[in-house]
Amino acid sequence: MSRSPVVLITGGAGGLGLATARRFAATGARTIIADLASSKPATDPGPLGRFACLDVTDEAAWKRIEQEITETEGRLDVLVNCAGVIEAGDIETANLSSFRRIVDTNLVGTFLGCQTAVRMMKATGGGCIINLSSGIAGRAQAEQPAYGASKAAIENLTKSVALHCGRQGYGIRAVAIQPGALDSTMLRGNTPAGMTEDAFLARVVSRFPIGRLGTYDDIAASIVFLASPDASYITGAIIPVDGGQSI
Amino acid sequence: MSAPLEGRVALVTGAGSGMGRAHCELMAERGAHVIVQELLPERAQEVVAAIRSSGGSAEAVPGDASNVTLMRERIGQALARNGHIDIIVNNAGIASRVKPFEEIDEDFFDRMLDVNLKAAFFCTQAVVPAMKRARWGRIINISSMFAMVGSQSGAHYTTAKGGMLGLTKALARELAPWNITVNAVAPGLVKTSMTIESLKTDDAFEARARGVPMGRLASPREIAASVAFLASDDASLMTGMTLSPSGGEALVGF
Repeated sequence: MSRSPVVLITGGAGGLGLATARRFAATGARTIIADLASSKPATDPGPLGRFACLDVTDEAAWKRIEQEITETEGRLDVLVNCAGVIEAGDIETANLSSFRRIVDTNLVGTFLGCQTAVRMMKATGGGCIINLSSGIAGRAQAEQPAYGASKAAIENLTKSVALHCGRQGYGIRAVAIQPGALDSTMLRGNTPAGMTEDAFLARVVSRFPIGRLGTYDDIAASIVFLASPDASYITGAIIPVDGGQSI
Repeated sequence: MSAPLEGRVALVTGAGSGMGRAHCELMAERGAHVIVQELLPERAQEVVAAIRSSGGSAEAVPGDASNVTLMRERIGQALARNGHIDIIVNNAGIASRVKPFEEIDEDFFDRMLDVNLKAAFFCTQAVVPAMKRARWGRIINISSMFAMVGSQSGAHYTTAKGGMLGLTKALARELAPWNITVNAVAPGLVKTSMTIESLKTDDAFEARARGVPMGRLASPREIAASVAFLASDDASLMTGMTLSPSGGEALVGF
């Protein structure tokens, strides 16, 4: 591609978001790392891209970033909806406000992102939307029903967006990635009481045929592939990147 | 283009034309030495010559991919020549003629299962010991969107392609401890000499393309790009999964 693609990554200041920005930057893309103002890195991300404030649950904030990108870049080629939150709480202990926070960031945020991207991309001949689902979207998880439900909904949303954009001839593809458990602070933070972190990680790894946890870079590599012309006929697909966990 | 497959040896079955040829050409372009397995020796040589003339590296292994004894011998020789085979793409396949279920006789069924499933099983068996020794391997099975959403004709074809998904999941679990990943690619309709045999007319292809959400059919190169990605180091966490470049058709069936 002669022109550098413009890539917007929500939750871009987090581990997966930054790894994704790093991968895209290495391919020569112009990346915009969008995140909450409170997550703004102390130092400028420099060659990885520029930082932009975005609360993904705020429709007006999406309108502002749309206008800003249109003015500065003239287009958006790739949106990675990476922003997400998780809170513990089974169906008896979770409360409604926790459920709403999870659904707001994970699902409503992805919905607003898709809407913004479709509006921008259809005007410039196409693009690619990559949503983040989870390995637990299709499985029961007693401890985190709200998170699982939000991720399952993201998968259906992805397919519907893909179908609509395909039928309209917009040249916009939409796919979702299902990461398995990643070696992340989020995972380590789930270590049950009375168990060492190492023992917990070993138990998690035992569920992965590949015998190791995933890394942010594993997921980022798949995101870059799916956004590239190499994936030009892949749309509406849900892609597990999980070391065989979902077999 | 970078060379993410530099130093790798890749065996592609049924590689004399269509998608198989595209897999060979793209992996060669990305640095792999390609073993072109193909029933017809002159076709295999043609693909080898084309790859070499574009600066790539390739050799031919002619013969029937479903002939277990022959393939064990010839793949064994290729292994001895190269020292290692890192990637196998089980692509060999024959098309289903549009046929009602009741008219698929035993010979038809056996031939379909032999080429579209048994060949993959035993060609893979011939390369796995070397992959285990190297503690690195990529097995990529070409299935079909039909295996995901069914089809209205050619139940023997869909049965064989469904078998490829089962084989993929079983081997993904069994071979993971040796760092061998096993994935399936399930394309939608691609216009190749094989599918022309079953669909025959341009009108039939156009009618199918209208049913695809993206409104067009895939090129062999677009399928090859998924295969080349799964063969690369970038896909090292992906195993037991099915990648379907089908323009969204897997969402709606056909």
